[in-house]
Amino acid sequence: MDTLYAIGIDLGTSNSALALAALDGSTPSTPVQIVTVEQLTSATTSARNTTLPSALYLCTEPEQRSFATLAWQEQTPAHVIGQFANDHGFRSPQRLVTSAKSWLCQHHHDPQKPLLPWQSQLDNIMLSPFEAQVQLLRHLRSALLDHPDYSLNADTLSRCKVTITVPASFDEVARILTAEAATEAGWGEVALLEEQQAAFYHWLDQSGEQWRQQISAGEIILVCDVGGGTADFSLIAVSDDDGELQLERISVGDHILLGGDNMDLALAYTLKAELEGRGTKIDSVQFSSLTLSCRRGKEQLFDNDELQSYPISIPSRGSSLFAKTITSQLSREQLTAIVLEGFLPLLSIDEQPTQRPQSGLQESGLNYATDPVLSKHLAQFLVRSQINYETNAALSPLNNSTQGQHNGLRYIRPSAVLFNGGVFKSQPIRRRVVDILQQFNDDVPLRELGGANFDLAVAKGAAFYTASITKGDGIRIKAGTARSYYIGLESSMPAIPGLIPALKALCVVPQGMEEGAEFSLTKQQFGLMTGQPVDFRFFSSSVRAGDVVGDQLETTDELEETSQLEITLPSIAGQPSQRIPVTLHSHITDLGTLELWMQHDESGQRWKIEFNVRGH
Amino acid sequence: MTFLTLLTIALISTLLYSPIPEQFLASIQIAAIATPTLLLILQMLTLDKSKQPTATTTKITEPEKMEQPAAATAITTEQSCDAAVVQFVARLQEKGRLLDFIMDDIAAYDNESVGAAARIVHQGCCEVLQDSFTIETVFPGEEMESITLADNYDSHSYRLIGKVPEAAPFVGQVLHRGWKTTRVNLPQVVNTAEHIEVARSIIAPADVEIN
Repeated sequence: MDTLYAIGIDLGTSNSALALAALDGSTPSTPVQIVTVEQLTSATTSARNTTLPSALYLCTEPEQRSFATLAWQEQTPAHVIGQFANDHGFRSPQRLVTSAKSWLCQHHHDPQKPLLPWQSQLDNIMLSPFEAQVQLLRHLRSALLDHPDYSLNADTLSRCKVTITVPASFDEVARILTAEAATEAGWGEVALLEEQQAAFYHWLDQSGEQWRQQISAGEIILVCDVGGGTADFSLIAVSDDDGELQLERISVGDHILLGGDNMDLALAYTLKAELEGRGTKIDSVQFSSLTLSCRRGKEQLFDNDELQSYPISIPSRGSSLFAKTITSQLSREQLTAIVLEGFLPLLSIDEQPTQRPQSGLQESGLNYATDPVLSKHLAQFLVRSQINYETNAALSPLNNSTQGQHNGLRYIRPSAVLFNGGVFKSQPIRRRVVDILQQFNDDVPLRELGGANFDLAVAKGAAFYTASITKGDGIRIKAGTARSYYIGLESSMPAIPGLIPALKALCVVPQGMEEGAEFSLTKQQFGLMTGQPVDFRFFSSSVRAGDVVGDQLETTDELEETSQLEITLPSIAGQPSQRIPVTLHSHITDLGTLELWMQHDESGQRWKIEFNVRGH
Repeated sequence: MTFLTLLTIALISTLLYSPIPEQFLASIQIAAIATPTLLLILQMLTLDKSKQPTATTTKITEPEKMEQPAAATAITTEQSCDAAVVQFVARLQEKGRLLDFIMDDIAAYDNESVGAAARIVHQGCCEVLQDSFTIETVFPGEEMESITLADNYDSHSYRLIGKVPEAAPFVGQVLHRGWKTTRVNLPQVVNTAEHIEVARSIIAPADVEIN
């Protein structure tokens, strides 16, 4: 009989990974394994590595003719993916696509338009962020099919269960684009799982049956996930239901474009300024080398308390190493001042991220965090989580000890933290985050949950989750939608010159709506024009857990605009465009994507509202 | 040099064709990599003595065509092995600038300059070795510790030197702990005649920057 697998895909901003567990029905479950991914490592060599850098290099025509092909490629594709893409492409940034994932959830540009490499002049070969994700997913699929350890073919793979992880902070548009990219890459229908939950599932898998001894009812666990370029926070509450521990993800943070790379860059800019002070100039490729050395220096100094400084050598561009090497060094004082005091200072809970006043003209790239202080983003998250919690009594009841108050500001006080992401390989950074949280907690101690695997936990956790839901065993984190969603409604009011009618917001999806759930808003009818496309404005919130379907908000001020919705109803045969009465229905599919429908009650006909992912 | 070439072939053939007890596999694999690397470096040092005239920068050169081997389709095991070794050296150059370090005239520079350059080589080559191997010491204890080896000791893992008696027990002190790898994950050269030929010859392409 063919072996089928539960597959977890971590489609990361900087690195991707693939894990699987055999679904042979045996208990205890087969262990989760990482699938190595074959990729070019140079123009003529390939290797199977545990991760695939999420980088695409757009080849020139001669390169396409000369670069080697991988076993599954009939001819050299127009792009190289993975390690060689990174190694070769950093010298020609115009041809290197990185961080495509971050472009899926920003609202200034259409992720299906060829935007990448950002600010490249190579108009005719650029890729859309969506297409870049498709290419990465296609590479992962081919590598799995070709892998000698698993005799999978297109048919057996199509019968496997596949989960792709997305940041908890991804909005509905970014989630749908990710699922569509997977389908286009040949993975079929995939389920979506929040990365921070996947990291937690990995911890559950690692702990085995012991996890029930490590956490107890009434606790709140912070999943603190800081990758290369992003930071994501989630809270998981532990409660007791008839003697059984239950887990519920009660809050997710915003998608913050701030991570370990920012720390390395900050160190490198400091050393570059020092070099320039001494009259030494370095170019952009040497700066990349300096940044890499700063990362090594950061890791070494954090790993070894006795080391006071880390000497750095920057090679020349030419072959003369002895004559032209530039030297510098990273001192412990610089490291402490920049990484610990700069990004992770010990602060009080009421220090929130500062929004830099926006200048009139701004480059419209990615929406990077303007405040680099992670402690403040963490404080803001814990305060917003409390606001969200207070709006809904149905969330797991919290102990008093998990709620704090400081100068009238209320916030959640987690009792334990689970770390994820490469930054946290350095123990002093983990210790600093624990210290920050303890300071928020009025010095009440806080535990770190051990057994983390900072690079591969998400892929492994996703495979473990997929295996346990397929077999129907194992604990599940109660989650549902991380946000509530709203449609903008124009108020009916008499026209007044110069006054734009206020936009009201109608809740169509409540927070926490679970897979398979359906809501109908039958009390209210809308007039919808047939025969022409109609746009809706669509909003969301991560701090309004109490709103239920049909609730109306008088303004959209506190909401975030997510995207536009578009629907075209065909005209009724032989009749001109007209307004017909419809009702609204929302549905979360079993795979975790949101669908909205309009129904004409008289005829019973339904039309799906599409997410308009064009930028606006 | 001929001896090294023969040794390389012998080692690689052993590796490929004979069933090897697991405890010896690692040491033979290391030897199979280390010997040709050494060979290659020696060869290049010889080549370097006959310095080529520098090409003028303004000359527009037609890219040299790789000479096609007589039988372009047949790839011998030897060619594949050569290519794999050259590409391992290529990796050491790409990440750790090993060739730039070795090919430069070290006598002309002071220790400070050499030391600064050595850091680049150390950091980069260390990364390549860690990607390709899991390196451990053969002897788990400390150097200068006493050791007693029985008659059936592993003669690949332990080399007896000095006043070695005819028969066990062999009692001595560990001078050098030795090295072994418990994992080998070398880049594979993509198996077409064209790429094997290129991979056997180009260690690092010339960088041409276009502004």
